[in-house]
Amino acid sequence: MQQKINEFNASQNEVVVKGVAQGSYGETYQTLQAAIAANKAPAVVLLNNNQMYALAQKKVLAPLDSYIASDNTFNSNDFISAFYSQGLINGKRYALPMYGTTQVMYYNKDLLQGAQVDPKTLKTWEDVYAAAKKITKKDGKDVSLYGFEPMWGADNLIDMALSKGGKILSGDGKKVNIDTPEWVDSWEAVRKAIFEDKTMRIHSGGQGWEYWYATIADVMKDHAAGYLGSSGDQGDLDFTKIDAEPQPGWQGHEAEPVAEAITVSIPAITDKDKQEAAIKWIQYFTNAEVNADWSIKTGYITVRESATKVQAFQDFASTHPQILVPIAQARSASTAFIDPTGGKIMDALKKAADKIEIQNIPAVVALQEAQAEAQAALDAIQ
Amino acid sequence: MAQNSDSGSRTTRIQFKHFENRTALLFILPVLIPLVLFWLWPMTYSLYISFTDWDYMSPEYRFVGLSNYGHLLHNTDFLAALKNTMIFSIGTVVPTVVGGLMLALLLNRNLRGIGLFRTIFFSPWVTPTVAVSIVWAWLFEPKVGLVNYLLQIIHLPKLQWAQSAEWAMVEIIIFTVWKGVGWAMVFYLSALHKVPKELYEACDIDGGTDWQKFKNVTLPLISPTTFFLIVITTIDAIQAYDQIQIITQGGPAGSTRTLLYLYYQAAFERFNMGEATAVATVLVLITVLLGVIQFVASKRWVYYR
Repeated sequence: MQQKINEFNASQNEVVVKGVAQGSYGETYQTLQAAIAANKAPAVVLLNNNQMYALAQKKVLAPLDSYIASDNTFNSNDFISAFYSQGLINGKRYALPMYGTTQVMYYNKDLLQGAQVDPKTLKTWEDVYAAAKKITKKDGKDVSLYGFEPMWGADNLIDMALSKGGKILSGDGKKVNIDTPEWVDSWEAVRKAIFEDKTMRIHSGGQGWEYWYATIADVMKDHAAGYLGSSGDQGDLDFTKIDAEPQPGWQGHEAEPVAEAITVSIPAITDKDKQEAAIKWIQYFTNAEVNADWSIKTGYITVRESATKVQAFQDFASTHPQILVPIAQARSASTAFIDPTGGKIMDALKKAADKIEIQNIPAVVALQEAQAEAQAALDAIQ
Repeated sequence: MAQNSDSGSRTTRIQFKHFENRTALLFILPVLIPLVLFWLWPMTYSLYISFTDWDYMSPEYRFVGLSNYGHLLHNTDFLAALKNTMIFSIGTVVPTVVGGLMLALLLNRNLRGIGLFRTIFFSPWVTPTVAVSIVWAWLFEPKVGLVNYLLQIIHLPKLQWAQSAEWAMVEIIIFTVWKGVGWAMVFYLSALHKVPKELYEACDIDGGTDWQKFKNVTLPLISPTTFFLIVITTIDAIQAYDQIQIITQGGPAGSTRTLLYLYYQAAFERFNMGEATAVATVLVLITVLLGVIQFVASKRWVYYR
């Protein structure tokens, strides 16, 4: 990001962007809230979907419609629609997508080949579980090679449930639906694989992203044959060893994992002249060439269709086909969930995920507890 | 005339009293101003916010009366955090105070190098919680941590520690006791020094055993220190945050989420300031209630010379 900021600052002499990096999206959000409360916000901010939605609802983000209307070159049809729709709230646009992210499957090519499993045939989770059994190696009670590793936490499990046809909320948004058979069956399969079949495991706890990198290390060092991780991991992976594939669906149901854009917004308290300067930076970052270059360097998804047509991107994709996997997945993905309770439904799911992945509590029990808690939180705001 | 002089002297007395009060006020102002500014006012304002639905940023908010408190009573997260706080408090206060006394009794003698031992036991208290929390997280690492290695040597099963809902709280309690026990020891050492030798001599003349000396002389005479340590470590336990944030972030599955951590999540993750300040108010009430109970109970067992 700093490199892109430097390039932008060098490309013109009207605006100077000073980037302030934070430890995580969560930290950015906390710092921003404090800044807005103190009436001293930055001119432009990078937020995930839930954060952006919450701030837009509180009317602390500036609508971008007038800037977009005055830009003759702006082509909204060029944005990937799942990403572009995120910033539109109550008929006004509060954010533009900067880059997209989704969770995809990463496989260790040699290990799959050794077990005679073709990654292209792993189209459903049933296929993945069967392959994991075939690949897993045990020395007595100890497992020396795991067939697969989901990433700790609720996100992967939510993707699996959505791909089975589950929904978090009912159509009218009044009922939480996280204990339906689609949820229970998909989450129970993970518990069974971890604790009964011992074909999978998770890394949990530790500092910051420690668990994430421990999971990646298992696949890179031949301790596990695959994992489910972010499209943004591509910058860290060695693709002479690793292969990327879209997330599988389930028998009788197409895959529908979440794809989410990380969006950029302008706080409402920002001065008009700074707002205009911020727009220039947003235009620069979301133009096809810059967005394509960002995608090449990080593995994150471009937000514009035209970015995939940029020559540099096409050249890169011809030698690194894995970059196209998350883009293909994003086109048919579920939109990111907006938690109307401000985080309590997600918290209930997070605790249920811990119960299943760490405590070996049956999915039906964990999800019914989460359902009761999440429904109470939803009822409280209605 | 006499009456006049009498009323005159009363006037002088009253004037002097006023002057004395003003002078006294002037002397305590330097302390009073920051106390009101940074403690009394924020606390009162926080109580006010707990009756609103303020979200930390919006200029508008609504007055919602007692509804934040009502929600807490039906909130399973709050009740679980209350239970976790109680377990953590009992689990840390008792071993810290008892362990501190035992260490003090062990080190309360004039041997060579005893000062070094005292320093070693006290040192955890002065190390920054965040830094040593990270070190302990490594020690308790289930796969390659030193603790599980030692357990294996004595043929005990490896435990999952911070990665299991059963043992995560135990890990945090062990860490907290390790950090506080040397601090309690220092107070007890000072208290033990102040016990008059004559009382032990009298006990010897009466043919008292070591246990009787400890029970009837030492314990009553160091009881003010015991009382002080119980009050302070209880307040500390209720306010524990750093080690939980570093080692478990309140997990797994909320098993180490204490009231203060719940407050942090409500305030700075969900930005529900009304709910958060309601939790904070309950926290203050619990602290005050425990303090009062301890003070009332102390009349029965604390012996002030």
